[in-house]
Amino acid sequence: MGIKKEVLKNLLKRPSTSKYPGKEIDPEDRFRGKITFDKKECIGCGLCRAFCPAECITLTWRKKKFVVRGVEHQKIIHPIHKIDIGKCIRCGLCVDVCPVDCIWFTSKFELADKDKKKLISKM
Amino acid sequence: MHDFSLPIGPVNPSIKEPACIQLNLDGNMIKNAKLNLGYAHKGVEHLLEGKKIEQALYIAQRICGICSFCHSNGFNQSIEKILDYDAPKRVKYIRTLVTELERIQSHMLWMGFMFHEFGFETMFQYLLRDREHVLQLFERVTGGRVHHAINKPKTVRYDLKKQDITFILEKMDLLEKQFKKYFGIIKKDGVTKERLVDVGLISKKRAKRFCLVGPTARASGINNDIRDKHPYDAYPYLDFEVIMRKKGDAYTRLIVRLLEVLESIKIIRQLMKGLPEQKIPEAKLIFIEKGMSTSQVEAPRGENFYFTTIKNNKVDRAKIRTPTFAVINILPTLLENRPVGDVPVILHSLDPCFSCMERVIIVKDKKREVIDEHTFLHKYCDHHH
Ligand code: SF4
Ligand code: SF4
Repeated sequence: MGIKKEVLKNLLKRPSTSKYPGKEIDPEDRFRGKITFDKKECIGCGLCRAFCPAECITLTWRKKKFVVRGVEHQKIIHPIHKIDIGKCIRCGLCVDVCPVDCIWFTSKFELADKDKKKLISKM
Repeated sequence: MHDFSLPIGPVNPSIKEPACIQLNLDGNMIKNAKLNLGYAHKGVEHLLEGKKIEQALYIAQRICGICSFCHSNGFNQSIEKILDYDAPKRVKYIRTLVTELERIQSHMLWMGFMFHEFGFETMFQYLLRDREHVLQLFERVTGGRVHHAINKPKTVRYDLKKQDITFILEKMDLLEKQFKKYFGIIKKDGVTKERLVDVGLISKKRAKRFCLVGPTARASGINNDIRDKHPYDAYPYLDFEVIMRKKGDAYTRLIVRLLEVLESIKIIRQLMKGLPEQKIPEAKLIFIEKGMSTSQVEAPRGENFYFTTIKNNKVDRAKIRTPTFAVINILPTLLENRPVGDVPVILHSLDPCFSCMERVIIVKDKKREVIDEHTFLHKYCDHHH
């Protein structure tokens, strides 16, 4: 019988599960884990927020100085401020639309937390 | 002997999702049964309204965790129909690959839980162990083990690499070997037969009357495979067989699904062999002023139907008919005159997925009522024949 053979074979094999927290797991290259961003690179176009289907991206504001013909001007831009990882569905739209590629997926997958506030990624 | 009624659920040890089955018993036998739904309504269709097309694609795939790609593919297909766009062959092949992998994964999970329902835990563990191979494939090819997010309007997110193809073929060989072994076990095992043969019988006539779909209908001798009837993606180029059986009991449904996995493995081998060398187009934002279309895809559990209307690049209305929604109507009739012990097996043999299924909520005179399609037709439509 097939099942007896399979059981006997498994008696001699090592367990197919690994001791997880002790052993590190390396996800594949394309794996979409925790999402991170670089606030300094952000040009404040707001595309990521407009496209996020889960509405988990918040923008902030800051003053930006720029010089035109020797005269200093100021303008307010709205760079990315925080991403709520608890809401994010890892669709990758923000990564795709960002014109300066300052949002990207990392391979970090251990994201569960008892506190909801800790799931908000800030920089 | 007393007559009494027994509610199973909404929180119950057998099915992992909330639903309430109200049984009226005569001793150990079920006289009649009633299914109460409405505990897991997520309102996805409403959520889709007013979303951009790109956004809606990823919300649609969140309808189900097991047939996630089929939902995004269904939505995407209706969008591509509005645009009158025919995707390059390589894109179609990759989409079909993910569809078939999903079918394998879903059937394995279903089979595992089927064995779990009647206490064959060894097989349950083996199937879940082998399912991990498919999930690894998903992680490698699409970047997500459960929600793949590989579809994009007009294209796919990732191309297949050379080393991926060899990896996929290796895993397919491994799975085929295992499944042939399991087939032998299922054919011989006495307990499996005792619990499944002649349980939950659905005749062809009844299956037609209840408009069943997917493997459940195919086990009763109805061919309604969308891959065969209305071929989409790469299916017109492929040579495969629609698995059909006549008997229509839970055991046949098990066999049909098992053979479908072997057939899917065959399809994937063909896909890998015939994969055209092409560049896949880059994803671009699309714009649709106005449009309306329907689409059908064959999800692991049967036909997945999408009706979409678009206005100003936003989804105006999306009506989704999931396969489980079509299948579950037959449950109360199947339970009649069966012992209570058969409830988990019969329920599970239909492959229910409650979060996919709950679509209609009617609020009338401040009374909230959740009904299935069948009752809806009888109650609210005058000319339903
Ligand atoms: S991955 Fe998707 S859900 Fe997550 S932040 Fe980006 S756009 Fe929003
Ligand atoms: S899309 Fe990129 S550049 Fe634009 S606001 Fe978002 S993070 Fe900044």
